[in-house]
Amino acid sequence: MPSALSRFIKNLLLLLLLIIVADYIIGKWLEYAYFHIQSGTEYKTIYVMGKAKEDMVLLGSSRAYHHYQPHILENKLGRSIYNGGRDGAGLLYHYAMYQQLRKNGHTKAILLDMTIDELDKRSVTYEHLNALAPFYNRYPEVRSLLQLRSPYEPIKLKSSLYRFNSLPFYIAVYNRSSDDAANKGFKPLHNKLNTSLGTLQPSAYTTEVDTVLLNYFKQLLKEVKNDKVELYVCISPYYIRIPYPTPSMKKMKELCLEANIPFMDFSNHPAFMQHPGLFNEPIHLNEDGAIRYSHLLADTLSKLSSSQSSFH
Amino acid sequence: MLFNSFQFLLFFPLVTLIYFLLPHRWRWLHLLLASCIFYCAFIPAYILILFFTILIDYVAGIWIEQSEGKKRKWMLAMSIIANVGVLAIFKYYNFFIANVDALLADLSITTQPLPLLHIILPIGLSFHTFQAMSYTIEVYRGQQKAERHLGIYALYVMFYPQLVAGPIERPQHIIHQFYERHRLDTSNLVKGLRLMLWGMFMKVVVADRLALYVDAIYENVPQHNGGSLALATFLFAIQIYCDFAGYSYIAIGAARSMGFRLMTNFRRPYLSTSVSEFWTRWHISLSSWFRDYLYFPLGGNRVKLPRQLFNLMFVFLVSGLWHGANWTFIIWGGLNGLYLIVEKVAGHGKRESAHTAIKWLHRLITFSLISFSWIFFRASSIEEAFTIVQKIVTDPGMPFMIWGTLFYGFIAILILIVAELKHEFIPARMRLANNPYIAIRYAYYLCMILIILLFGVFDGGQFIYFQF
Repeated sequence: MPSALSRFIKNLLLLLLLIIVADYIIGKWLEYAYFHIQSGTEYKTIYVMGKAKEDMVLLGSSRAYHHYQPHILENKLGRSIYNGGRDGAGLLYHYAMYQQLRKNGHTKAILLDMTIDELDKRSVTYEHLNALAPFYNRYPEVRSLLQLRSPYEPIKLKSSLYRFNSLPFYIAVYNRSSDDAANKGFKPLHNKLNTSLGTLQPSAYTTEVDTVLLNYFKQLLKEVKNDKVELYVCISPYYIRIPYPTPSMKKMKELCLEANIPFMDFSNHPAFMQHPGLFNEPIHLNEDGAIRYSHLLADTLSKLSSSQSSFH
Repeated sequence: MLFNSFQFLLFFPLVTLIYFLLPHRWRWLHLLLASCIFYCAFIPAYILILFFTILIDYVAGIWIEQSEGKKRKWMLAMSIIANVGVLAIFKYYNFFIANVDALLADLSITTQPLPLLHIILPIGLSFHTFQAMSYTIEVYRGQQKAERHLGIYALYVMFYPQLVAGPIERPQHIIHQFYERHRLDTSNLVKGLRLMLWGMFMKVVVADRLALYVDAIYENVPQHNGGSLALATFLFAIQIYCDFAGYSYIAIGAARSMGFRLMTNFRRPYLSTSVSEFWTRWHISLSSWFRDYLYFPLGGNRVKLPRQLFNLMFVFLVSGLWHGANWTFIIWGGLNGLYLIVEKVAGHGKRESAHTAIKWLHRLITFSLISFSWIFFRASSIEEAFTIVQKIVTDPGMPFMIWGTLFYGFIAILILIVAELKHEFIPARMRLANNPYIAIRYAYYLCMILIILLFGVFDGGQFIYFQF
């Protein structure tokens, strides 16, 4: 072998070794710092997966994060509640959260906030799973979910830096506690919807339901039944009138009815729909809207538990 | 296959290794098969379109060379019609039909709506079509011998590093390289890998990070103020540069690793002091294509000034149309044509300004003008583009902040600016990648790889220019 080539190979191996060592050392430090985050979105995931001791945990996307005021629900239902909603999270993320909650054994009830297109086939469904990457080593339950992103994911996740990709900023910013803890995971939004935007039209909904998501939803319904955990599936209000029924909603409702799980649809509730004063923008309620909605939901859940019957 | 995918991380070393292990006589076949696999990772059936144009141009090249007089011209015309015809069907047919329908409706002529084609545009169609056309034109001009080896000619069109987004090569520059016996040269390998590393940084750390902000704003124009839209426009200017130049560096680097030299496609375009200079630094392979095969044949600078100005505008309108079948691209092209016309009439660039401050002012103006034109490039419709312009002017305000994205984005931009300034003004000093000290070189490589792993966006998807 020519000396230049052997030198090149030696140098390449040296570089590879340096990368592995740096990846390991920086990764260890990031892991330590990440699991000591005190606030923010990442903290909520850490909290739900490892620390939540509340009777009821709310799971969902940003709509859950900004729509459910736990104190109102706690006062009316007499249960401790934590809002575990996370921006951009989808059903697979919620499923991962439930896997840890059931393992920890403190949670008696789950309130699952779903979007009207929750089960639709979309590429972002799997992209959003990167929120689970930091837990790859810690919680084996998330591994099979992360593998849904791509067949190469297990190889990529061998890199510690990849697991903590894009997180150093959040680790640095959220290393002390904030109002989130006092609000029990809820974050109110303060804008009022700008009605000068004109008539808002609902975006087109794909007709195809993702079979992977559908199977995970079925699995979740089955597991809560087996674990004797109460599950409430909810669609919180939208500003725009939703063209009924979206395929996802139809499927969710059908499966909940089959499993005798309460499915509550507030998406077109007249107290919210087309009320700009209650919305931050068309998808999210503002603080006034969240308070009103939390009261409405608490009343509904109270009636539900007293009647012990499912409804929609 | 995307350069920023995990598959490519396996594909590239494997193809390069096999290339050097094979005897020279089989290497063309290996590269051709690898290029087919690379292309088929997108939509496999579309490779048939490539085969069709390859066969047409291969035969046309030989016939052009063997013919004389008017027949040569006819052969060239047939080849160009075939190439442009494929482009017209797949890229422009629906645009044409939609505009004809709209025109008929405006004229109150009621007819049955013309049928639209429900097809996806083949990846990189405009790129390999232009590369194929440059071959037959050069054969016609006598600058290139007709290629007798069908496999080599196919490789000229399909060479995987530059198949889907250029650089758009000229036959004189690349075909002879497929016959050369490339030895495994570590200096080529190192240079190629360095280019790929920098290209990957530009793509996944800068472009795809900025895309998160740009997309969030440009996909919800009615809900954002002028401040957000101005910031998104500025970031899009950086994004599109890093996306496309990043792709080009990876392409050039991948080819260089095997000993092939592709043409430079970008030379720090945002440091240009005029729009005309910008177009000698941005997407050089396309700009020079239009110069050589459209602007010069129209008369170039040898005709009178009004005709020159017309030629300039015409070339830029066609360039806009090349980018996409939408009026937004045509306006983008027209705006750039207009800038060049104004510069030409004003005699800008004839006198070299000695003042550094004046030069920087020119750079700033050029960047602003180019960024303004990007609004039309990025907007989904003309109406939306004008709404953006109107909001930027009349509705200023604090931009919408996505703190993490903007933080990473601005750090990445800062690294980019430092690198660009260093390469532009002090290329021989403060060397990192090619520093004589191995410790500095390796520290640089290590830092870049760690930055990519930690701050890269790996769900960023495909390169913007793939759609063209």
